[in-house]
Amino acid sequence: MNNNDIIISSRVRLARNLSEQPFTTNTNIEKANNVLTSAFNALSEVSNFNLYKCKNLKSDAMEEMLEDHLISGELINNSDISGVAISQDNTVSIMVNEEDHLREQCMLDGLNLKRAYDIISDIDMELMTSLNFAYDNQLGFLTACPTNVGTGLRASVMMFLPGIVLTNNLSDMVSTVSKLGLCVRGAYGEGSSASGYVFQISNQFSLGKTEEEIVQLVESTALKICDLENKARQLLLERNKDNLADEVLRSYGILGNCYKISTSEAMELLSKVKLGCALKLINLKQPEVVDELIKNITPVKINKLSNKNLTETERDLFRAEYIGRVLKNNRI
Amino acid sequence: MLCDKCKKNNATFFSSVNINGNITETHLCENCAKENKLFSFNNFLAPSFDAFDFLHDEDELVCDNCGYTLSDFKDSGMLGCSNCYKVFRDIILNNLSKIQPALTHKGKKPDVSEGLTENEKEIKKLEVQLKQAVNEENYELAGELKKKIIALKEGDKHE
Repeated sequence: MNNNDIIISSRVRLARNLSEQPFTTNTNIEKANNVLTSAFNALSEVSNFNLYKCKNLKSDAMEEMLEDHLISGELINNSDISGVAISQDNTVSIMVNEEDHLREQCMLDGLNLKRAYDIISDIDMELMTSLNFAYDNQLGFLTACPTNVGTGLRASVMMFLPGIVLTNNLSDMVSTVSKLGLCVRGAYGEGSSASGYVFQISNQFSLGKTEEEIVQLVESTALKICDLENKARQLLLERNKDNLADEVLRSYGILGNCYKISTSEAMELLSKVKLGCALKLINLKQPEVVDELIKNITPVKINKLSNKNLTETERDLFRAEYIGRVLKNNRI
Repeated sequence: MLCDKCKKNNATFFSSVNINGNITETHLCENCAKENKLFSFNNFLAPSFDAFDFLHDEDELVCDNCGYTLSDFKDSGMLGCSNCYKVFRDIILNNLSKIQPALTHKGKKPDVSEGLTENEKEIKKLEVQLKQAVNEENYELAGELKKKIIALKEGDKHE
């Protein structure tokens, strides 16, 4: 077992605001458009970003960006005034007129927080040559919500933790992590339930420590959680292997043979198959196809794959056929 | 739905854990959720407004730059502009002391603009706009921007 089965991705974001403009929470269309224009001008100087004004994007395109974590729900809510700059490789996205004027983020696969911070910090420094960010000598970078003030940084690691959940250790883990000043959330952001055993670990505080210290704390905590997850998986194998293998293989059986399936059921069963692959209870030619399937079975992605605008029932049929075909091709 | 724990208030927090097919669902009201470890991280993020209590009988504070009031801040947890940090400073610091490890920023500073005069900052800004205007082939605007930049640079020399 290794950490690749546990840590899905790393993300760092910096919150910034232009000093002369009211925050997005207290603006009007004219002022918000000034922010968008200034930000896009500065961004086009920094790198070859694709720049999108949300009001010009179709809702499907925005939903897809949301699923890919390139934009947030709040950016979509502000679509009359918001925009986003996305790097050619989709690792960097800079949202404009979200809760803060700029939300600069870099997301990389695996445990890669330090590199993600370096990338976004360089872009941030470049932006500062043309944009005046709101900054206070005591409080650091000023943000619309005071809980983000200081570094404006949130470092988060997305983790697949079925072992910790199935051995009933989740609430202990959450309370230990919160004592360190970090928090655990369902993978899909604030208020979302933790689906598919996927969780985000991130810092809650942003002031009083350097960016490097925050990144280091989140990274070292993620590694400790990896150890716990590996131990929990070992324990599951030792104490409950028959039941676990049965559950995993039943999930695999349903996914390979069903006629129609919803996103949530497919997500739950694929998470069990992913655990089965990590524990070598199932052998696939390429276990990473399970991750691909998890990414590709949402309504927006299914519509895209089918090249049609399907109804919900049609999507459930298409999804079942698609998953069945991919799993069959990967049978050893 | 009523809270599973106190059986009095409406449940607003929901969690579902699936263990080998046995689904355990928990429905809690806000008060009981606060006591439950599993939900503690959600509450931590919400700003605590206890610090406002002593202000109830005093005059409403208003930001002289953006017009945001203390009530606006209290209702939304958000500020209206960077000047609000000066107007509501004591209250903000009081709140931050409950959730942040320290009240002084230790991280990166916007060094780039720190050493520059207002004139130099303005010139940099206009140069970015000039490039943009040229990219968009808006030569009329580009001409105007160029004149402004030259005037500002001349001004710098005379200082």
